[in-house]
Order: sequence, then C-alpha cells, then structure tokens
Amino acid sequence: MVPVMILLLGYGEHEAAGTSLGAIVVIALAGTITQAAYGNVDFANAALIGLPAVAGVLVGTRFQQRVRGDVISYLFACLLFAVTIYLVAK
Amino acid sequence: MIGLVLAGVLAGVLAGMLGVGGGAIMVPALVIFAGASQVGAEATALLAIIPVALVGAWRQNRYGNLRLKEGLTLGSLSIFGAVVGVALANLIPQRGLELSFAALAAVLGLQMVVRTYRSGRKSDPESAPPFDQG
Repeated sequence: MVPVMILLLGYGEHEAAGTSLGAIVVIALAGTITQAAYGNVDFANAALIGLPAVAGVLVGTRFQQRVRGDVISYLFACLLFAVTIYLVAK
Repeated sequence: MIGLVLAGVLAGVLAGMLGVGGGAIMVPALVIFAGASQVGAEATALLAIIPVALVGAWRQNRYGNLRLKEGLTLGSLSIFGAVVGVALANLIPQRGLELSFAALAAVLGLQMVVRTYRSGRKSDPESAPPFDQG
C-alpha cells in the first residue's frame, strides 16, 4: 500500500506511512474476521507476536520522525527485496 | 517463544518506520518459530497487526502524518480485495501464493528505488547540467 500511495497517489513518505497504518486497521480487521471463519487464526500466537509488536511500533514511529523521506523509501525497497529472496529461496 | 517475541518487536519497529503492518516479518516468524502453515501464519498475523496498526496510526496522527478520511476510505475499499484475497489464499497451492507475492514485492521494490533515485537527482542542484544554471 505504501508504494502505491507514493508511486501513484503522490503521498510524501511520512504521510504514506501514517495513512497506510490507518487503512491497515480496517483491512486487517476484515481479513481477521474472514480468516477466523475458516478457523485459521491462532489467538495465543497472535498475542505472543502482536503485543511485543505494539511496543515496537511506538519506537518505530518515534524514530521515523527523525529520518528523511528518501531513506524511508530505500528501507522499504530493502524490505521488499528481502521478502522476495526469502519466498523464492524457501 | 522468544523468537516470536523478538520478531514481534522487529515487526513493530518496521511498522512504525515504514507504515506496514509487519506481516512480512510476522508470517515467516510464525512459520519458523511456531510451526504454522503459510495460511495459518497469514491469518494469525492479521489479528496481531490490528493493535499494531491502531497504535501506530494513533502515534502518526499526533505527528500530523495521518490523513484519516483517506486512510479509512482506502482501507474500506481494500476490504473487498482482502476478502477475495483470503478466499484465494485458501484455494491456490501454497507455492503459487508464495511466488506470486515474491514477484509483486520485487516489482514494487524496484519501482521504489528508481523513483527515489530519480527524484533525488532532480532535487540535487549538483546533478543539473551547468548550462541549465543561470
């Protein structure tokens, strides 16, 4: 979503990141309800990985305010390449 | 268990930095550390992402980076896509799902690099040809 917001909708990097999080709340909620209907959601593991992630997001948003937009874009591209390599190699 | 906790922290930091949900870290972590299937990991990560995105959006709003109406509109429009995506994830073979996602990530990553490099060159005065100045 962030690349689409930046590449197609003309958002700045910081705004794209912030607005994307707002959109993700709605999307993840709908996705979770649907996946729960299939019985695929593991609630204990979700808490185990999700609660530390809430602590992480507080650190991440704070740190992001001190970083330039182009650095955010390059970091995002690195994340995407890492995901590609992981998925192809596994 | 410690692997899941550490992956969670890392996913959260990335979510705050880059505006992602953190699923790119959570899904492989759930497969590796909790032995979940790809579909099970994606489903569990979706639930874990909700509080992360909520808290992240709240913080970003305080920094003036959240366009709330547009975010909610984009999110609502994506619900249809998410529902179809979840149904497809339960139909498509696992390897096909992984490779499709890998291809999408590679294309978007390349576009991000090209765009950022070009806009950097445009805004950098030293990169402009001498005859264009003054």
